[in-house]
Amino acid sequence: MTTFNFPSLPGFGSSPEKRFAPEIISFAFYGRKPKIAGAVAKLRIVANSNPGIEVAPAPAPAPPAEPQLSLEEIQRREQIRMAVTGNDFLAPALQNDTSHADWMAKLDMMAGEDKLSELRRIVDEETDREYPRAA
Amino acid sequence: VNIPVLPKFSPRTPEEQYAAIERKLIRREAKIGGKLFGPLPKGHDRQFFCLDEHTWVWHENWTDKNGQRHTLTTRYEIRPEGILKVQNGRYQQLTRNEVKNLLKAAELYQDRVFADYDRMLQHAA
Repeated sequence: MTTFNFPSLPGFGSSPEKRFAPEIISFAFYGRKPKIAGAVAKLRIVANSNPGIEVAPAPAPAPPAEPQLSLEEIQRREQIRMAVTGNDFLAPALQNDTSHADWMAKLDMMAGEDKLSELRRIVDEETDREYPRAA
Repeated sequence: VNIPVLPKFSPRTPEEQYAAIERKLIRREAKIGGKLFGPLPKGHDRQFFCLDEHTWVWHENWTDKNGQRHTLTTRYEIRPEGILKVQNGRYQQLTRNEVKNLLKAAELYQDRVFADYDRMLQHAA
């Protein structure tokens, strides 16, 4: 096989006397060059006709949504809050609610006693019984 | 350079000989392609090459600080309906930026590889 001396190329770190067979040079020109040119041309055509998917900028995090509560749930929560804090600003809306009256009776019984956790437990039990939570 | 997609074997038929020559040239091109993207951190090895008229390959391996070896092969498939990226058997469409970067890299690859082959010929004459 005929060989020739090939000088070192910068960046290849090869020995200065690297040898290449003529069939390798021939294949580089008649095999690889047309294939690479074809691949680049094909890539260019496809890139121009299908330029890739658009990536939208990441959306800002949405603020937490206001819970959509039923009237019963609003009342239940307010009753708990009221039982704990004593602030009865929903009282007019609840005045016809018999369970509310029962609670008031219980609260009266416990007045003056430092049993906040017990009070909360009772309120929760009553509320769950009167206003069953959605499954 | 050890590129898993280009297995080495001893050629017997003329077709196998041509295939062996092409693999040898691709290994050379892969080194040129790996240098298109700037300097590499120590311990990294990168190859980028044109496998055939509709496939480009990016292959990278590196050793992490715990001495563990990692390999990542990304194949770009050029199809009439668009360019797909394949990693670990997972297909993804390219973003606009990726398409631009791939085209730029392929054009630069062609320039560098052709210049290299021209030098080979000049020195052969």
